[in-house]
Amino acid sequence: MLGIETKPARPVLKARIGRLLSEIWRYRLSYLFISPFVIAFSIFILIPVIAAVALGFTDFNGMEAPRWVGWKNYEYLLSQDAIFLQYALPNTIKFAVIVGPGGYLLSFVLAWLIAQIPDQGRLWYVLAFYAPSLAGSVAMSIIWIPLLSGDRIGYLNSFLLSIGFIDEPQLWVLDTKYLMNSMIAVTLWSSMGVGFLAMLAGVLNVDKTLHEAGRIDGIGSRLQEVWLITIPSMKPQMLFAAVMAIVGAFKAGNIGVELSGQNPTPQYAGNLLVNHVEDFGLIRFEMGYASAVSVVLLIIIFLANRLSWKLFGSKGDE
Amino acid sequence: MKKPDVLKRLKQKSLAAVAAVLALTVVTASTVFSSAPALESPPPASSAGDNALHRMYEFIQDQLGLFYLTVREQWRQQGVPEAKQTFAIQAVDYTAASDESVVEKGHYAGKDSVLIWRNNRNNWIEYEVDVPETGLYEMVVRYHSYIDESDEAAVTYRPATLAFAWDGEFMFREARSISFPRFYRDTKPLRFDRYGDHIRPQPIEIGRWEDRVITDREDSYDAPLLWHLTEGKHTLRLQGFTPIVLEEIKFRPPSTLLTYEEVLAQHPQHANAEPQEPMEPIVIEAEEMHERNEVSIQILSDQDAFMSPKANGRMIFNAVGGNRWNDGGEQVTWTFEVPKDGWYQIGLRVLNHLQSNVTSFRKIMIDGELPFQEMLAFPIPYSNAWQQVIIADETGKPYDFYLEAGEHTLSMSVTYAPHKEVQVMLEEVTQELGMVSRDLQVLTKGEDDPNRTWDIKENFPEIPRNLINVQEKLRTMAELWLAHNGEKDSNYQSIMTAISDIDDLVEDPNSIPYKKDTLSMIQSKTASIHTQLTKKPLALDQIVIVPKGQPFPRMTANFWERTGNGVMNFIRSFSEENKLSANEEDVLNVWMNYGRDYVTLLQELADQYFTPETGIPVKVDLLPREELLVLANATGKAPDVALGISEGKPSEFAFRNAAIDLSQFEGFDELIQSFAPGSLLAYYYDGGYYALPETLQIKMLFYRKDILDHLDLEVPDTWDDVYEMLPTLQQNGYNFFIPTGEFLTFIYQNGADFYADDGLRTGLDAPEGFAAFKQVTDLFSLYGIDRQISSFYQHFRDGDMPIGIADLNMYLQLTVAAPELTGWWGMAPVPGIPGENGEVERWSGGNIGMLSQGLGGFGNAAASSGSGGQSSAMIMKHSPNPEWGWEFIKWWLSPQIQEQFGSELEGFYGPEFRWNTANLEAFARLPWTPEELEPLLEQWRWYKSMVNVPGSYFIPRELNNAWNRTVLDGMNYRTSLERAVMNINRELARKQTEFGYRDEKGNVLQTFRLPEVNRPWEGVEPFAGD
Repeated sequence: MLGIETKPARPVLKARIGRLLSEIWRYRLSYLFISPFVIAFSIFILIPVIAAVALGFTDFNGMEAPRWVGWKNYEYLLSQDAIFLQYALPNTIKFAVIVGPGGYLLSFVLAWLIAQIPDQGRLWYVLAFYAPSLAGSVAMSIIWIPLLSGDRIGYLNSFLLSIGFIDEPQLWVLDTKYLMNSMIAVTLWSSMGVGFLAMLAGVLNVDKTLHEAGRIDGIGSRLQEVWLITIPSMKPQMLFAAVMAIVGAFKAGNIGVELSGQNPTPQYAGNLLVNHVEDFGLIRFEMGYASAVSVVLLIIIFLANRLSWKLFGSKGDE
Repeated sequence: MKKPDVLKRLKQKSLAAVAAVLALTVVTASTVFSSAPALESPPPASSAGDNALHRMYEFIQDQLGLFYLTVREQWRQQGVPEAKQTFAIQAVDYTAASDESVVEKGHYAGKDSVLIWRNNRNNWIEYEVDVPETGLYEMVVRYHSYIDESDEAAVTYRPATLAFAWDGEFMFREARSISFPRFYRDTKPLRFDRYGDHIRPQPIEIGRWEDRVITDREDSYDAPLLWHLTEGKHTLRLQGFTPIVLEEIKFRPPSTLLTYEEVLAQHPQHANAEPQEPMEPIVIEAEEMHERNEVSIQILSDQDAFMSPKANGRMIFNAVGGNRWNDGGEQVTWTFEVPKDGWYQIGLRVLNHLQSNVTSFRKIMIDGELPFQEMLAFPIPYSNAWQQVIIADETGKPYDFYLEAGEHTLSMSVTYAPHKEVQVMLEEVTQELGMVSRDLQVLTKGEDDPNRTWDIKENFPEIPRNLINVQEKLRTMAELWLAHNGEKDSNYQSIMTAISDIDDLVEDPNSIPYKKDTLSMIQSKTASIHTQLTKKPLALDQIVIVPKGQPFPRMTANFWERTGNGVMNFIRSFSEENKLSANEEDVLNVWMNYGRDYVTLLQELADQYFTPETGIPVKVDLLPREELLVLANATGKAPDVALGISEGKPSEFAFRNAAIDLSQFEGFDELIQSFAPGSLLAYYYDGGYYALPETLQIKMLFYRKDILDHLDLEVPDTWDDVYEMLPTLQQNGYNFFIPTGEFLTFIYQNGADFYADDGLRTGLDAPEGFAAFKQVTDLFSLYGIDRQISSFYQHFRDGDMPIGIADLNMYLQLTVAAPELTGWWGMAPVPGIPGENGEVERWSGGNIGMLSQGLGGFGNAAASSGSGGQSSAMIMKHSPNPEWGWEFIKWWLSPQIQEQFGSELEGFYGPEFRWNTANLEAFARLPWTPEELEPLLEQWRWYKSMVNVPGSYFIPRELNNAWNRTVLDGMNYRTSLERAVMNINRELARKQTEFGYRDEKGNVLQTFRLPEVNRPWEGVEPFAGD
């Protein structure tokens, strides 16, 4: 491209650039207004992403200068990294498929249910569901670790023992059979975040007259009302919540480590892609490889988001 | 449909079970009685609990003896008269001594014939005392603290402690530790650092003779201790392990103290004293102490608007105390000039805000004498702001003190005497609750079987009876507390909730076995008030003395002053030095991965000692998270020296050429003499040592004396002993605790090693490795050790895990947070495996689990030493002045500084800040009791951590996975370990390729030349007593 344009089109190009600059100058006030976002976005998102992509092609141990190795990291990732192929990838997919759509559905159902509550009480319910996502890991260690503790006095064990459901305490966070499920349960509990609030706003925003019109037109049940009126009129919020849910599901990683108290989790049972990145980056000090893995994670998240755009985009057209 | 059947069967079963239990209790009860010869006639079966309670009291008394309060009460009932005569013995006239070589008669500090007792280990001397008359005596000892000026390293801040035994017996518990304080003053004037902040002054010991009226250690009774001596000859033995110089021990009749009214009556001129002419108030700045009797009493800087002098955002010392002046007996003395004879009144500017609604008490003395009874414990109420407190009676009428013209001293000492009764009752209550809890444990065998029906009322009436008994005591305690404290506070609430919790329990006695949680909650609630009962913090800014009748000047800030000050403080908080600043040029930058308090203290020590000595300016900064060091290193902003780095990290830096080999520096070999060779292993790489340990993680065996005694079990010495005791423990519902992930101990004890072929592959697949792994997994799968528990400390406290292995953090937790267990638990070295020559090998140490956590596991390890394995000091490669760094590390890890750091840390912030220094010389000088030090030193001999090679983080990780496969999934131990070994070797080889130990094809290019530690460390011997 450049080669073609340089010689004959130079005056044209020059004129074009000149026009562009003068147009920028003309709209300088608008540029000024968007500059805070652009600057922050570049510093905190764009540059790190570019740096990660670049580091993904190097061998970098975090202390000495990086060394260019080309595609070697990706080759290793796809051909030799047994932990990635055997644990991190399948675990992440399982976790994301359940936590993403599961959390998404759950937030919709809860948002809808809460919307039915009279105004005075609603705030408290919203707070109760929203708080866990704010509290983060502090609340986790206070609430869930004793709850899932593997001795007799762990709350869950103690309860199940007392109703006679189990005979001996179960190791909810050490046993590879249970760890993933415990992680999913805890993440679902704390997934009622911004997406949930957006959905609630969406449900509450639906035009009341539409409901009345629907009833006159012969809508039979609440379910029909939800399907035919509520959901179609809140699709922007639905999309936003979907994006948040997917990103959240892929980003969650520390949960297994915090629950089991071991890093990596026992027999890699709760090893997600994020853990894999941390393992290589901060334990093995192979930052270059860790960057490559995180690029893969980025691509997966991107694809999943495209999918959700597609799903909700088509629904919106109807 | 089958349900009724099942229910019926269950019911039958439970009935049978109850019957069986009943039968068993009768049998055990009868054996108990037959085995208790002290009881003359067997009491009725229903009093089994009382009997057990009695035995428990006896056990405790055997351990510690009765409180003085109880003994004095007994004497009162027996009608023991007060003595009338005075007599004395000279210290030089001792009749026997355990070690003559440390006792010398001679000249000391201006006195000719005194006894210089250069004691350094547990020794005693004996006197023959001829008592002229039976009665109660006070004891006054004239002593001088022993100051060894010849030996700088021997500077100690510990007061001398002696035990007084008469005819081989302690009269009461307090006689076991009588303290003889040392006196200190601060260097004056205060110096400033380059930011304009005060540098904390150094304490200087004041050598002087003191006539000490013997009180208990914390001066918690309102009168001196009395000793009941009978006419005739007796032996008095003084036992202790600290040096002291003694002149005379005097016995005199108990002194009496007049009340204020009586004192006034002696001064007839008081009533019609003429109003004095107005004068400038006499103001004593509290931070200008003349003398204090404990080094931990510290001056502080407060930012209040009305402080004197005002701090204005700087660190200007302007008050004394706070929580550095809260233990019973801690005394501060000030001097002041009185211009003319007359009556004076005293006002204080104080802050008592550390314990909500808890009143603080101070004993106030003038010229070393108590002026009248009311000054024994003057109450200072709680307030969240600085307040003016005038020394006055309950109605608010100020007390008048008669002072003659000239110099006087005023002393204030911490006291909690008003709460003494509550404290003693609390002790009883915790014992009785512990009893009930043990009874229940025995009864239920630790199982919560909901299908079992109990008839507690009928069969175990002593359980609800004891609880009601406890409740009665709690009620009295609550009343007493309220009477003395004056306000309802959280302690009062704790007692009240405990009372209502007991109501819940005794209401339906048959459900008590299911409510063990409630019981342990009551236990911890009652125990929780212990600290606030005995700690009486108070900050003091000024003492103002005015003539009688003259109004006091204003002592608190008004609204405008407060607001202005608040705004200014907010603005000042943005100043440069409050940021984690960039490294400075021409200064040694030290980053420290401990709490803020540690950083401040190290900076103070460095300013005080290191910089004047070497001329190297030091700036210590807080390193909040360890991974920042890696990132800082990547950007070239790393400090010169990093402290508090976790065990596995220095070698990771070393592999990547980012750390400096310390063994190349001069003085390295001398410095490491006081470090366990096993503790250096973790920092070895390629012939050098890239860090040195600051603290160690020593594992010990903790056990409950009462429960083991109850079960008739001995403290295990070897793992075979552990296997032997397990059935007894488990049958009674108890268990042994071994932390999961504790592989190193078993691997080293079994003679296996982590590496073979000089570090190129793991050595765990040797027969010893398999044996070690089998032992670990068998303990959990075969012997029924719990595989996961939430907190050993909690289980230990509750009593269902009376024995187990933990690091020294457990020691701190137990000492600080479990006052109800004081004296009931002990420490022993970790069980081992007998070696060829019959010696039990107890290899243990370090925390390899931390390795596998990497930096991700960080953040929670910084709080205290030990939890992150060994913490280490290292020099970064980027450092422009590695020699400076080495000078600093050499200074920092020297025994003197390590000890001083440790004792000041403890002095400033309390015993929970015990510094587990890796320097044995300093470690041995920390305030351990001999019973604690002995097992600790034995464990020191066997300290050994893991060498790190590239990829060694995979060893604990794969061991964990293998353990998980075998113990949880039931895989054969051999297959499981083989798989782990394969994975470890693969990772090691991969890393060896990365670092050039193998070429691309896997051929070995070089090896690691690993060091070996195979024999117990002999360096411990000089410190071990006999």
